[in-house]
Amino acid sequence: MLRRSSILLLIFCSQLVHCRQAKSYVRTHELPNYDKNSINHILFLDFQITREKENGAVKAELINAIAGNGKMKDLGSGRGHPDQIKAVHYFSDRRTPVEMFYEHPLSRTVEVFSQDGNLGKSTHTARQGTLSIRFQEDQAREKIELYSVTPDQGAVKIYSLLVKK
Amino acid sequence: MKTSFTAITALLLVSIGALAQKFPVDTIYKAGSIDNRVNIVILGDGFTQGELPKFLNESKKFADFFLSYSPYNRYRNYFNIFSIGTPSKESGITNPGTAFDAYSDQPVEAKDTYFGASFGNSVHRLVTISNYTVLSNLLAVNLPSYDLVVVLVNSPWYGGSGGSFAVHTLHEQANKIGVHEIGHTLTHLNDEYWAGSGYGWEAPNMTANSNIATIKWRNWLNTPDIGVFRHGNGEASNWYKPTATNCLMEVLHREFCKVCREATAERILELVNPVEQFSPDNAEAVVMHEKGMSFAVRLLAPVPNSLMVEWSLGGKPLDVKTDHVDIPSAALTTRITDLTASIFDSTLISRQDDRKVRRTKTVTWKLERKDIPMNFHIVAAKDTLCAGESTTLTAQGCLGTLNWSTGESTQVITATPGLSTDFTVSCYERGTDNIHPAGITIVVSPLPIVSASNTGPYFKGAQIELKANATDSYDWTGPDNFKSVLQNPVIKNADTVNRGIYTVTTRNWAGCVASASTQVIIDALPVADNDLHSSVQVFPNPAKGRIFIKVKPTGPSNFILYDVAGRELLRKTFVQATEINLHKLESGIYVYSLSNGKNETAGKLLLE
Ligand SMILES: [Zn+2]
Repeated sequence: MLRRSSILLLIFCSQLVHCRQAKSYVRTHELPNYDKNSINHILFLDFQITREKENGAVKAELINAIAGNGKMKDLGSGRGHPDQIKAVHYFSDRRTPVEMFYEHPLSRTVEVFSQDGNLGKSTHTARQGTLSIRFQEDQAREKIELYSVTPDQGAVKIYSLLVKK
Repeated sequence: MKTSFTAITALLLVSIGALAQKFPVDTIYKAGSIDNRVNIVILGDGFTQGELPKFLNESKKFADFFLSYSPYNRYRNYFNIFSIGTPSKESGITNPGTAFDAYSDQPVEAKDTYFGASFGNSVHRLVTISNYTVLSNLLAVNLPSYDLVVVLVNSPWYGGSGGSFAVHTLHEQANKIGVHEIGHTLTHLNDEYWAGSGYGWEAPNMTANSNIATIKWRNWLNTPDIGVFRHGNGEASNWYKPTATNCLMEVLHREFCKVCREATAERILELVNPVEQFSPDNAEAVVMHEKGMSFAVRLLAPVPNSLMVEWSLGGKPLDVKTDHVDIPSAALTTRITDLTASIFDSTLISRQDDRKVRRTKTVTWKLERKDIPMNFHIVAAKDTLCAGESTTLTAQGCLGTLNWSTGESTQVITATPGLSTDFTVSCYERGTDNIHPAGITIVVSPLPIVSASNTGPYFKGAQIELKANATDSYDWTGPDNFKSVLQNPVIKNADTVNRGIYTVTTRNWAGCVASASTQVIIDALPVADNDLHSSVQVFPNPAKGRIFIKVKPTGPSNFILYDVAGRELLRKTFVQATEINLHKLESGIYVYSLSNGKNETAGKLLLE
């Protein structure tokens, strides 16, 4: 049975940066579908990424978190995108933080396939999108930070998620 | 600067109970354990409860298509394919009908479906899904260990998209979209069409390096269709691809090119270990029975089976190529002897230089004969090497910890000595104060010195003169099955089949081998269009810094200058006469082509 669960959200609003960055935490053991009898867990997080007005600040909000059993392979991300979301994972055991890159949900590039076999790219900008990330549970993981990375603005921190047991 | 914060605490309730539902996971193709396979999950959108059998059938069709596609067909046992049927409230998917390229006979309709798939608003055939959290919940609950996701949408109209996962319709051409996208997500192949500014980066099938001696796919340059192809003009001119309109990563109606196939096979072998199991366990030394014992590895064979198994006992190869070996007790002459199985996939799909070293998997057992006292020594796989070669050194017979003169402490080390070297190792016997020393000398011979060149570039019909410089033997190979043992071989009446890379190999007294390559350029342009050739002047030739060109026919003429490797350096369009500044070019031989209307001519230009 799945339990309804809660994610505590703490928002620190800086008066200077107009609530650009939210801060919250998840307790992995309380996530929906977290099976205490399984040794290995995979965590799934979905963030809603928004930009209220053109050239406005990018904001992130955790809208869904769920766990699954098992191990996953790290296929890495081979594709570069001019616009990206960077997730930085911090660990308590002195490991170097691990950076992972994802396509920016507000500037998604999709391949367009013509019926004659030719291919092309189409970039779609949006004011709202979903970032889905998946990673192996690691007892030493303490924090995940999200950065919006764009050619004109560089890397801007948009979210900080504390990971608790 | 001072920043003041106010803190607000809010409670966010995430209610997912209704969405995170368990569904039956259908196994379409199960080859083995999830941890040692690449796992593809096929999802469906726009299939109602009653249409789930149709979805399962379509999933099987895609799985069959994928598993028969080269090189996945050889490695079909390295994949598991699952499908999860999720019922949509309505059949079919949304068609906004707003795009310029919307199909006129396809009804415009809005559908309530599980993942919210829709044809595109602005580009019609761009079919995407929208319910990402539904997708996360479905995968977390039903198949969290998936590696690749393919979403089939229930529409007969052509469309699809790629990103972190593939989406495509049931149109018969659309399944290639899934295979193309898996090329991106699994193997990190780049597109071989120019996808626009910012889309050039180093990938197995894209590079900024056009040097034929060092380019990633150098080992394929002698094969048909593979070369060094510029992506285009402008920013694209900095990037190269291995073939032109000849690969699934460029056009959907082609299969993967050889370079993409190689990368795919290498990637599969990186993720899946061909050694599934072995027996007996090797965590502790195996105490031998008097009558001897059997050792076995269980292998995951590609089709056809390209796995090679080699066994060695005490560092010496055994004459056994099978997946098991019987070791009689009498074969062991020391207290501790290592038995090693080395497994290598010798597939011809890959020509990567370091593949054997990188991909050989080994299983080692320590065989113990309790009736023999300890004898500690080093075994070298080879004790004479050519410069640049490596050998493994194995410390045999230590029941304790090791300390090599190289600072390493593993049982097997790899040594690449530049000169003859003495290696030593100490064995600190467990539970005692005993230290046992051992040593070995590895003799290293120098490599021969060799260089290669040719007198080209040539035009069709010319005589190719290859030149080598070495002190020992000459062994040439090249395009069109060219072979020669002469120092300076000659090929008469050159044709386009003769162009490409020629390699000369030499071997010295110590058996050490070195090789050098030279690229022969044969211009496919007509030797001379007599009408134009006689009415063109390119002078001075040899030139110093600038040239003048005069053409008798009126109308625009095009002048293109290439280096001897065939790379375009400059082009100019002019009428009848022009002057071109070449100060920036290094001295050497260049090739030009000149065209006027349908007439073309070409020539060599020497720059001093
Ligand atoms: Zn390719």
